[in-house]
Amino acid sequence: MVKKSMQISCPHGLEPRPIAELVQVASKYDSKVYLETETKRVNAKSIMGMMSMDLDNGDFVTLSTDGNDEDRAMEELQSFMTSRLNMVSMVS
Amino acid sequence: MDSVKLCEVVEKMHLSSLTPEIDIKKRKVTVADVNRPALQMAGYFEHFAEGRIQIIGKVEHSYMLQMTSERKEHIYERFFMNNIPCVVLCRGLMPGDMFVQYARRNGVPIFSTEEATSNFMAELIRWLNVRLAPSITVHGVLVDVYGIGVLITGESGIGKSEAALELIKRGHRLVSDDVVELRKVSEVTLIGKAPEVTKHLIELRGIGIVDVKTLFGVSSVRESQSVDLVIQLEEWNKDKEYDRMGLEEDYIEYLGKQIVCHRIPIRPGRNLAIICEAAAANYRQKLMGYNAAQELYRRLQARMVSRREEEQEKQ
Repeated sequence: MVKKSMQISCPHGLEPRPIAELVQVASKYDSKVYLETETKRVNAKSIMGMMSMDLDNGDFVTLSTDGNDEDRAMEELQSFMTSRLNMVSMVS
Repeated sequence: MDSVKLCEVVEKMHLSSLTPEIDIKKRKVTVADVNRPALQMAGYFEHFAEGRIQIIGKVEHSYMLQMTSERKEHIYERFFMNNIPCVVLCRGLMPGDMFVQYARRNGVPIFSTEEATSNFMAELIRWLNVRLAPSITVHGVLVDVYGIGVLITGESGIGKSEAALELIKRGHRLVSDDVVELRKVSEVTLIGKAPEVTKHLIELRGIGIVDVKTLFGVSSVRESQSVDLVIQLEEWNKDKEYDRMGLEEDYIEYLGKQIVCHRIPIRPGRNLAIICEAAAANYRQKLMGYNAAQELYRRLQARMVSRREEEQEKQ
């Protein structure tokens, strides 16, 4: 399993459309992909789950991928999240 | 730590504020219990449960009335020094001027209710217990089938939402699609709810988001439901064993509570909704004291016994 922490830096919070795109990206992989906050743990392949995360500017999230293509999944998801969702990777 | 905003408590319990100038927006309640500060009013502050909502009923009120001014000063000073979320006076009782004065000085809001003390306490504790119950979110679909809360789980794309849609068409009710917030409100009950954002909505691959409440009507949805049965969908694996009798039950644990769990293998052409319906109906029947697997076992046993008796008679 690979894990990576990130912080959201969108002044207006996250828009639904890029979140839907993130779900598409996550769904391409066989690995289990989860997004975690302090209180929630949601399957990143689920639109409803991701929409209900209610992420706000400054929130910390942890992305985890687990499966045979976990490294490739992590790489693409991370670059998607930094470019399209304005997330900042945390050095862990 | 879980917390409830004080504003919510005020709204839910219909409290009227006696100190409207105190800002309660940032105040939170973290303990699902209350305290009646009778002993504190008598000057005993050991083990004072300051984190709880303080409730003043007739006893405390009449005791406070007969306290001398110096005594009041001394006691109220110590009382309000603590980190109290708020004070509630029951039966429409009114606090003395000095009490309000000290509360204001320390920024502790005072509320009043017309309710009788015990009733109010019971309702407040019950509500706080529900709100502050330990909770998790799980990936699955929660449907009320014949009054049984059936949580359908399984990998993304295995057909949970489709099964739910078919169940709704057959007259059952949707609680939540894809994400279920579980709350353990007591040792025996686990309650499932939808997150506010996705309430009444269902996602169907290829169609998108569908609003069940507007499409199928109010009677097709439900706000919350206890989780009684878990149906775990998985791809058919011929090396794996699936339950054929149902004599023993499998369980899955959520928040320390064991829930009956059926693992159901998926193959094209299996009608999931009917299987869910049958599982729920069978679960109800078991609750009512009838177990079909045991009945089969009993019949076989009876037959063996009678055969043996016949053989003995022949000899």
